[in-house]
Amino acid sequence: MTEAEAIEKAKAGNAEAFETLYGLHKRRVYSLCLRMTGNVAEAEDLTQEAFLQLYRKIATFRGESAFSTWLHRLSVNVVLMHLRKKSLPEVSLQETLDPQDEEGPTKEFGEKDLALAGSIDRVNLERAISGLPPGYRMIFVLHDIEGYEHNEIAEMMKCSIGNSKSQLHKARLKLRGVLKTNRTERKVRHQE
Amino acid sequence: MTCVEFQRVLPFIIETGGNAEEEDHLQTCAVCKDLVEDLRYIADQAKLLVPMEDPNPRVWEGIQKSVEQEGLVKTGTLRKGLPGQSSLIWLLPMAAALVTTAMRFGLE
Repeated sequence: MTEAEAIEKAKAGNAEAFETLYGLHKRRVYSLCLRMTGNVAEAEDLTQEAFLQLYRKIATFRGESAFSTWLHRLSVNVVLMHLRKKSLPEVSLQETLDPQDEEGPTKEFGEKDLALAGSIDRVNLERAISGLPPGYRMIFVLHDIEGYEHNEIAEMMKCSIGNSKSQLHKARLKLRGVLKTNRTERKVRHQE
Repeated sequence: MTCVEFQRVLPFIIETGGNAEEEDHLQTCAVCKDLVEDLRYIADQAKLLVPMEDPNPRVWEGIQKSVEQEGLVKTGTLRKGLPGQSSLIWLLPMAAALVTTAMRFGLE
């Protein structure tokens, strides 16, 4: 069964079509939920909820966008609703005024041979992302991994575009710090 | 332009580019140049991250249960087991029959 066939049959409540759609999209939906929450149990619950909502709402899918895009947006909304219910700070709505949070001129990383280019592997990057504070992680996942634009993120997260850019920047700075520290530690261990 | 001034506006110009003064600072300051390169590199690497892994099979079990309880399934029955596994299940007796047939011909 092709995806297009599965969509039409799922609208009629066809069980096999439900299975087909789940099989085609489970990995992407689950990965999104896991990256956004950083928690396996939550990600599993949210994946289940996303697909249930899909099956409930599939009759409303008109094909104006790609099905994967529609499902993706639905999944993001499921995660955001969940986080709002948990009263997690999705995004800090004010710029932090804590001076320690401000990254001044990073003179300690000013040497060419410490540049990150070519040194990040997927495992380390995933690990670093999962260690981000929830608000930073959300923006980073939505923008840099999932490809949402700042105006879309601002609408979803109910913040300003400037805030979205600022939070993304802080997320990237934190990742840079973590990745450089990890690399330095690996070098030291290698030398020992 | 100082590094502090440049890095203050960096979140808002990193994707679109800055004005002449900002671009000039970027070209002439090794610290800020490295910073921008690193941040862009992180963003580029993130784009390459693929969906990680499949959810635990219990997720599908939960969906099956809910879908049936809510009456969303109108035709057919959701098969037990993971999507895609059901096609393997009927292959097994078929394979056994083929092997048996082949052995019978072999003996004859």
